[in-house]
Amino acid sequence: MINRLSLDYKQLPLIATIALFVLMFSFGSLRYTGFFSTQVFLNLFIDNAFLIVVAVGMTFVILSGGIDLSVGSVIALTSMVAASLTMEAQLSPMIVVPISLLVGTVLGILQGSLIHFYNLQPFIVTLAGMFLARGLSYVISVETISIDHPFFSYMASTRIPIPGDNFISISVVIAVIIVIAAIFLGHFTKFGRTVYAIGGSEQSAMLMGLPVGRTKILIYTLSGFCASLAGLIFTFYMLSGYGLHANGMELDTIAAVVIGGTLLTGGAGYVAGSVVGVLILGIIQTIIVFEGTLSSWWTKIAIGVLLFLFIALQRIIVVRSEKRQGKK
Amino acid sequence: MPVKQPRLVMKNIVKEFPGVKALSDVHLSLYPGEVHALMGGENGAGKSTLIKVLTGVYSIDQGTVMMEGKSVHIKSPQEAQAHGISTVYQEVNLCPNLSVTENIFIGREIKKNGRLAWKEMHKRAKVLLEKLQLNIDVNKLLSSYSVAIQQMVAIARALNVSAKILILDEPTSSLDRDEVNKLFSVIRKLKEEGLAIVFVSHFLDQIYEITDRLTVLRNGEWIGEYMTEEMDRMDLVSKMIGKDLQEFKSVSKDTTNQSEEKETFLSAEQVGLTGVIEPFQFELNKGEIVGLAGLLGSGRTEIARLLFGGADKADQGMLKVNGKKVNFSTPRQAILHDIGFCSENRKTEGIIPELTVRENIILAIQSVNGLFRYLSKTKQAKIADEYMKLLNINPANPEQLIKNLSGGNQQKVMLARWLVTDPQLLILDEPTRGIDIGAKAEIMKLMTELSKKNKSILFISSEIEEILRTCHRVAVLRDRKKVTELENHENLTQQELMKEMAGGGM
Amino acid sequence: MTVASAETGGLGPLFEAIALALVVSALVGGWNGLLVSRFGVQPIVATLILMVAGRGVAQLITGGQITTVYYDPYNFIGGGYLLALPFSIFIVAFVLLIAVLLTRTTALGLFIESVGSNPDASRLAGINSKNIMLMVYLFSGFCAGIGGLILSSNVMSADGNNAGLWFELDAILAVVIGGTSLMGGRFYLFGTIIGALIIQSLTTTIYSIGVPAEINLVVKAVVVLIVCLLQSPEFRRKVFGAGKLKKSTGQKESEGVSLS
Repeated sequence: MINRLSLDYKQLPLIATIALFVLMFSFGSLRYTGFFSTQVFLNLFIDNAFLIVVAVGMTFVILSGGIDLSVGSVIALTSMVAASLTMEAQLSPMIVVPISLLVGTVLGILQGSLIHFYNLQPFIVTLAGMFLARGLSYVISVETISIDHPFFSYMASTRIPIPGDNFISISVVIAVIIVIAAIFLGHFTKFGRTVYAIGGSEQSAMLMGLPVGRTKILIYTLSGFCASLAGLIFTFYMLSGYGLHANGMELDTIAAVVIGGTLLTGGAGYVAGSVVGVLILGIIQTIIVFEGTLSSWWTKIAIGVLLFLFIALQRIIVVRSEKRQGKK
Repeated sequence: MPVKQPRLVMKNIVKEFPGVKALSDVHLSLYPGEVHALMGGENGAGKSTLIKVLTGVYSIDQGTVMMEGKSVHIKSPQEAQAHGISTVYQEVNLCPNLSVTENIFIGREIKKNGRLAWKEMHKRAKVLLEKLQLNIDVNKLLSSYSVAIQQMVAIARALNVSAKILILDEPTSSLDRDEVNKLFSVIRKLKEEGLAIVFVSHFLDQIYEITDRLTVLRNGEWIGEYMTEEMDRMDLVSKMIGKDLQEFKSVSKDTTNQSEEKETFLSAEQVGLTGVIEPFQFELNKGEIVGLAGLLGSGRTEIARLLFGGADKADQGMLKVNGKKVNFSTPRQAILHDIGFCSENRKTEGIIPELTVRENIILAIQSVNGLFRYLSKTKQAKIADEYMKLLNINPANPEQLIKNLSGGNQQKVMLARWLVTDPQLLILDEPTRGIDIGAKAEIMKLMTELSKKNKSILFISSEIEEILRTCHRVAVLRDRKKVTELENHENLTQQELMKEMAGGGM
Repeated sequence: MTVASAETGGLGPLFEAIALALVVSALVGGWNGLLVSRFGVQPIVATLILMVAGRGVAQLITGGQITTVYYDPYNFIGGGYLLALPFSIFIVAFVLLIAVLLTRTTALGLFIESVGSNPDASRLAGINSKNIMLMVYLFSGFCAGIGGLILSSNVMSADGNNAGLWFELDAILAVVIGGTSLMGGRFYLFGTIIGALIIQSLTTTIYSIGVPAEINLVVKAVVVLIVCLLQSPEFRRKVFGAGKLKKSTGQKESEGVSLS
């Protein structure tokens, strides 16, 4: 019985997150007319598809006990690369999309290699990566590049109908595919389990003969790839490339992952939790929009407060479980 | 037994680290179906280095390793596992955040159709654990089980790779008697199946209970290989701790103030910490040097840390200083009560590597003074100079970073740090370990001089000779319990002391 | 974070506003310190919370607009001159003086270095590591407050959206260039000043050769990585190891250079 409880204990943040989401959605539904609808719910996905994708990549990074601060800038850089290749170099999307996806992937490989081979702290490496990517987008252009291309317009405006007179966007489909793939990756592949093992204890993982170095590089590569994919989705959404796009997005992403129940010290958490985390951020925004009189900065403050509460919750759980271990 | 071909032969193994020879000319041979104890009296004897060499964590500098007659080079833990060498480490080296099944199979998962076959793995994990007489829910997180079960899971993991050699590094250190019995019945079963098992433990009773042969190491040197049942307990202990310390002739304990009126400085009344050390009674008088004797893991260090208050906090009993009840919750409070403590872990709990010798010396007195009564640079230099001369610290440059000094000199700096605060009680945990013989003698002379100045010293050492030479009184510990206290009168012999340390009714 | 909207009148409001801003910033730093030292939250994460929420609060106070300060004395902080030198230089000198006094005439410097180098050993030597950490974050918040005052005085406004944006890396970069190790243990205040000057020279140079200022980010990122790599023992070992092999050819090349 005690064991059962302890299992649930680790899932407490996730349970809290889901409960919070339900609570906020009910709150919105009671307070605002038109809030309680499937479309409002689906809009959460449509508006935050890119955030879901980055959060998936970030989940793996945080699960391994690391951090990736470069994702927001990679989104901006990807949008810049996509926009300039499409509009200025007049390349076909067949070429633009793969190149754009490579942007973050390559940066991720570089960051992962620096972290692994030279034993640098992830935060400083990815902080530098954040500035590098942001700077490189300005190298491409300081101004906004608007995209006017049938492919991008198609991706942006296509509505996929859903029974009950509702719709989703192509981006949502991409995000859902990524989430499913990530859940599979996390739970049914060696890579996924190694990520959890590294997060639990990197030294143990090493002594157990797991490929720690390779996995660490792959984790940052995956995060970079996800950031680039999110960058593309963001570009579909905004139909432009701009060096200031997704400013501060790394913080939203980390917040979503943490609120979604992943331990910042690594080793415990779920990809699905991060999705709920993103939805919570989304619903805060939606409520603020519905409220009308509230301003956007309330989003930041609310995220900060939630982030604090969840970190506090995590600390309590970690300290409690350490005490429990100590007693044995 | 020798008729069989040995499973493993390690010969003339040498392993050096910068400044230290961790293993010099060490041998080890293992036969199928034997339990082989690896013994060493102190940290740094070479046991863990030898294990790490065997498991590919370290590479060897010289020597040969043969497995079943073939020469092998083991360069990584993965390669060691490929050779059938599995290790269960002292601290369970598994991932607490993964399930039992995952911990057994991670790194060599079973796959079906490109995805991990969890059902199959759960089933096999259950079978493996049942072989170890364990029936648990393998789907649960490892952290939800006791350390004993975690240990069994670690063994199950080790056995999952058709293991040929199983290394158990202090597997019993956190188990109770029932759990140890269970583990031993598993070990016997594995032995019958032809596994070669290396067993490391500080508990002599267990060594005699389970092992067939033993290899003794001391200071990284190979002392010998013996049949366990032919080995007398006393012989074994003396081989483990050695007694070739002629250099200390010059040091002699001061018996003059033995006769004087004794004034108690510190007393511990039934102080204990559950699971760490059983409640003990202990008094320390002014001007007295008391030794804590016991094998590694007997609870020596734990007692010292409890007396220093905040280093680890006791959960029962009462501590008195000068007859007044005290309650230390941080080391700082102990220091303010005139107690100093040199940890046995000089590297991690002693020196501040990035600071200079001068700064390391004045650190404790400055922390007593507080933030604002900052010693001027000239005063600091004067203090540093004085104590560097007193303790003969080399090189005599106070502005050198301490990390660049030799172990012996670092240790002297640690002593200097506390001497500056003029403590009434100095707790020295293995101050003589890993330093050269000259420095050892100097440190021991210093202790005697301090006791003449009516200071108290609690001295922990693995070297019995050192304790007999310097201490007025010796408290003996065994299996995390204070077993007795001996007055160090002229007739107290090493034999008597060792007998108490070894126990087991010899 | 700095908010100093004041009415016209004597200098009273100016000092009130400055004091209030500094107290708030020190408290904010103290909050971070509390999270790190008492609750054991990792520093990046602890400071991350305010990185998100702090800007939100700033925007809340300014209403998301740039609040212009119509109060001339305020301009003196960042734009004024004293003895023909910009007043902000005096502020920098003053803060540096405080820092030097605090760290070199009290034991604070020694304790900070000690805790940074080996927290366990420091605790056993009697240092209250937790309080030291708290103080460090408090001071960092206080300094950020002063920085904010100078910044907002310079442009005579409070901009919750962009003021101090991306200063984090600049600050870390200045410290790292100044020779302080990211691993902790030794700090060099004057090195940090030089580091900050180097960064500003970089910015100015890039401005003056007519490249967009934002490209600065790329240069800084590269510099930070190089400095970190140079501090990494693994990197040094690899480069040094490789250097041994290549030394002979390298020497020949350099000889060739010196001959020509």
